[in-house]
Amino acid sequence: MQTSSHILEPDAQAIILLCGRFGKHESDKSAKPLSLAEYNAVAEWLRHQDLRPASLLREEGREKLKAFDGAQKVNRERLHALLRRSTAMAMAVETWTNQGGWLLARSDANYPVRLRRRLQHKAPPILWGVGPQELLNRGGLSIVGSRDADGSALAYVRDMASRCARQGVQVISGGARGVDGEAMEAALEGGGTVVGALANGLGRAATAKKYRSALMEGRLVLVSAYHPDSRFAVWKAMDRNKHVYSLSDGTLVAHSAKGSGGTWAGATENLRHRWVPLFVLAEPPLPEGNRALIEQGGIPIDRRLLRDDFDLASWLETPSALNEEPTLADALINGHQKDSDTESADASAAVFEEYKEYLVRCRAEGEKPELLPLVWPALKSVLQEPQGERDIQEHFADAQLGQIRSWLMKAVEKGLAERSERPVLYRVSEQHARQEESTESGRAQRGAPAENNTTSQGRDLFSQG
Amino acid sequence: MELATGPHARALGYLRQALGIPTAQFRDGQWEAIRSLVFDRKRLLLVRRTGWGKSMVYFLATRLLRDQGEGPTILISPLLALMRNQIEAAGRIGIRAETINSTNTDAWRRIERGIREDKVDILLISPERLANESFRQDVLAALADRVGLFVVDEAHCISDWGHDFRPDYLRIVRVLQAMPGNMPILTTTATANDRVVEDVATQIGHNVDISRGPLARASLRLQNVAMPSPTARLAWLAQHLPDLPGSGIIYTLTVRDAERVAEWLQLQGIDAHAYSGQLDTEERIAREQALLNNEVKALVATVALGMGFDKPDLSFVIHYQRPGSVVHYYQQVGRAGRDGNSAHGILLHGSEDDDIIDYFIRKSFPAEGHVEQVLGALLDGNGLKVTEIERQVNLRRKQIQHVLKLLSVRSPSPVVKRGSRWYRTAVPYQPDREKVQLITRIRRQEQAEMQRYMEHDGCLMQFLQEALDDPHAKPCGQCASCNGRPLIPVAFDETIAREAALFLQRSEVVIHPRKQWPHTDALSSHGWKSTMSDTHKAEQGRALSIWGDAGWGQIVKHGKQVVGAFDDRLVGAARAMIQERWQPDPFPTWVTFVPSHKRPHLVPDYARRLAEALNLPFVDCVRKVRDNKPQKQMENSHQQTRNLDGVFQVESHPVNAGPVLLVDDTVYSRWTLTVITALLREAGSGPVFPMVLATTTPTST
Repeated sequence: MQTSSHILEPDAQAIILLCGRFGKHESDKSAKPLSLAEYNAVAEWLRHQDLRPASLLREEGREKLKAFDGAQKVNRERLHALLRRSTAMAMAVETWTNQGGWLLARSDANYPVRLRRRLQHKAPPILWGVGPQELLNRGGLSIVGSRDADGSALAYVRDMASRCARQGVQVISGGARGVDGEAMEAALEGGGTVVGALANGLGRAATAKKYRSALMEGRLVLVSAYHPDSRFAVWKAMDRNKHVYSLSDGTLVAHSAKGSGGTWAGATENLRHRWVPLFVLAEPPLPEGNRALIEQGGIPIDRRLLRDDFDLASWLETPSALNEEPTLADALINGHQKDSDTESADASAAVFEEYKEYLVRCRAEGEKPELLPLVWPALKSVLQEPQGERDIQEHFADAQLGQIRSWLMKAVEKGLAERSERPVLYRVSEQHARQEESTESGRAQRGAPAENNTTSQGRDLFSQG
Repeated sequence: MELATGPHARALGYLRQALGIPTAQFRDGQWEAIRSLVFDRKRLLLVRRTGWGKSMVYFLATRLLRDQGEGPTILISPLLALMRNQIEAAGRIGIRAETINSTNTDAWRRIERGIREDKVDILLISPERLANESFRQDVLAALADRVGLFVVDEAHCISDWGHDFRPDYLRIVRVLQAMPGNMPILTTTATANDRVVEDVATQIGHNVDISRGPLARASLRLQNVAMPSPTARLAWLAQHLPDLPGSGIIYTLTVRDAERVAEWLQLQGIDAHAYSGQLDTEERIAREQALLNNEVKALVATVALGMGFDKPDLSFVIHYQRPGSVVHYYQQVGRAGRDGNSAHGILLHGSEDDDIIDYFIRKSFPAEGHVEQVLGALLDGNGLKVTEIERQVNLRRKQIQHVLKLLSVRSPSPVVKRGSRWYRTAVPYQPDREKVQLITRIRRQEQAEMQRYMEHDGCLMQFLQEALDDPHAKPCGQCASCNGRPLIPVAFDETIAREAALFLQRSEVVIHPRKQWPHTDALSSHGWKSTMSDTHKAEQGRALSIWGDAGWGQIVKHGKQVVGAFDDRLVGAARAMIQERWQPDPFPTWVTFVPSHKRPHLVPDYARRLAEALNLPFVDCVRKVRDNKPQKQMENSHQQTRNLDGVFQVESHPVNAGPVLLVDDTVYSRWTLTVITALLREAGSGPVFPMVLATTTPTST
């Protein structure tokens, strides 16, 4: 690890001054850092003037800037105000690099080749990272999927990731719960190298116990386009998808909803731009989104890739080989289109249905409805592991601590969640988890429609605590 | 040359306005420094003697930058505040200065608001603050977005070859290194030799301009006095201090010596007070203020009275012991006579100096074993508080904090703090043995150079200047050597010396009772946790001496380690201390002791004789019912209390309801005394007064 990673090239310094956010507490008065499009416009202007970004740090550049005539919402004053943030930037860079992190700007020679070449002007101007940079140029298989991928898809992902690890194929993913997490964890457990391109800042991940040994062994690199303290946001996740895709030699979609959601958006974006080959898991039950992606040009794959004699590395180089014989996937797509959506039915839709009925009941009885039932699915997704209230709050962009606390207490009252003391931690209650499991397996056996799923959960959710 | 309306003329106008002197001119180098900061946005290292006018450089540079519409100046300095006259000078040119440090948290909110409303032109913050993550995020954010000039005072602290190396400065250096080239940076120091200047300059980055001037202090009159025994030095001080004009500072190497010398001088009717880092902030400020106002003759201080203190009319600095290096000495003695009036700098030195300095050199780096223990605990955890680390490692809290501090300024660092929790980062840790050896070697060289200074028979000021690589060094014509005879007589009166010898013998130490049980379950068999009820607390106790110290401490050590019994003189000494000076109230009506399996007779034998001398009944009622490890090996409260859980019992039938004297040979953590006190109280005794022969507490060095 370089000890001078805080001493950046002047070009990188200028880019970071223009585009970087340096903390969570930015006052309203602070100049707004340039967006990607805005920065591209400024970079264009610099090229026209025969200047480099670093010129802006010198007298010569400051002089020329007087002639800057504005581009989009960028004006001279804003650029000046951004360039004046040197102390804030130096402190942010120092803090991050002091923990072993590094920064790369688009101007840096070490900036990942794949991002630069594939994304071009869409490549993020700044990357905050931790772990060996060289892994970013090693390619590999990225594995993505929506958070509500089912058990069989997750099992496939785990198996695939550990095979990749054994065969020396790097795994790239987005660090989210579900498919991403399973893929990264399995690949790391299998001794492989992993790239995590995260949608939130790396501050916590860089010191998290689950990543520590892999980071120390140099088998994991984490990157993010956002300041280490930056929180998750949907738009950041959408933006991050293109980093996951373009850092790989091919991307496997394990599970996608159709027409919406981050996985769908990322996969279709990749199909449009043809960054890397798109592989789509085509094992039954085939989610509607997977089917649609295959129809749009995704390459169907299945469990044959998991055969012991299958060489993943050479397949990644020539990924069409699998299409030669008719696959299970082909059969699925051509044969059973109609009933493939039952299993992947969106549980949250059911919650909405139930909630509507609940509102009607409340109105009839003249009671004020609670918001908890609506919020619960989101909370629940976080509470799979015991968490403190602040950690829980961290997951959401717009939640007040007090509100989170009050919902958690309600959830505990209703038996949905459990609370442990010293430290105070919350998680989904065992009772609730058991109930869910039994309804799920019951549903699978009976092939019952998903709506039934909410009945037992619904009792807890809508009961008055 | 500049036009009349040019920047030079404007700056000169501001200078005259600030000083209130219409004919004032720039000192050599001042304008050049200002110009390179304001117009060339340079990085500059100013090495200039105290009083040259370094602050005027950043005041005027700030004024000119503000006139150009730039943001405020940030000034990193260990000073607690700018001097009143400096603030006034700045105010005359419309520069508003504010200070944020750990002593004025009530003012933070107001100052933050001022920063947001752009009503602050210079913000002075301490290095510790800049190194503090949440302070950066919560308080500095509003300013950091538009700082116009970055100033680092006492820049020699940056160099880890320097005598004043401070870990927090490492973070500052890294911030400076990460700083884009469009930020003017000024670093200043009054004490740096070539090695330190070079080190600071390379660390700050390329393109640093260095502005250096002569370091001689014309007002200082130096003298060295060799006096091996503490008795002689105490006597000399008592006799000659009243003859020195004005007030000043007496520096000692340890807290204990500062307290002892101050106590002695007070007994001799001299108004002197101790000053050390162990005083709370309020008390420190009050004592500094008393010295500033010449209300006391002297403060007897450790280096804690250091860079933050500025009293231009300080008229003497006396060293009771020899500092570790010439640079150190120059800096401390240089606090006298800054106003240009004649002042004395007198170095006494004794036989114990080398031992103390050796100790400081040894403990400046934590043992590798300590580092490994702490890192091991963090590696297994997902973020630990210091109290949680304490449970897992056998280290004192201070040792843990020392390890964490030094680890956290490594670059990059194997640990990071978020909130109150410490995390292991992915950065590998390798002990830097070579660097530790190199720095230790340098410390030894500095020690040797200081030794040469003491023995030097040529001009003393010239020696100091040459040691600081000042090319302008020449004989000062006024030190004891140049004078050819002592400035202050070296002789002292025999009667005072005898008094001093007696005083040193009875240097007793108060044992403050513990007031809290541990927050852990370490004492679970007794059911004691957290809050300690008043009926469990001990009274204030006494230690007759410091283990191994001149006076009784030597005799205690000899008795325990060589003879196996304590001398009768220790009985007489303790009796005199208890009856004549301590006078515990209510006075004990019986005596008991702390039993030991390893030395079953040592303490009871002594306690019995002491009881006889005090004419009190001796009662054997405390039992040791379980073997444990030596308490001295337990390094923090958690380990210490766990090691005592269920070890002692008190038999209730012989316990007397009156106040009791609880006797032991040594005290270290006070936990043994605390636990037995609570047991005695539970068994029905009256108030418990602990009395030990010697304290071995680590801070008593």
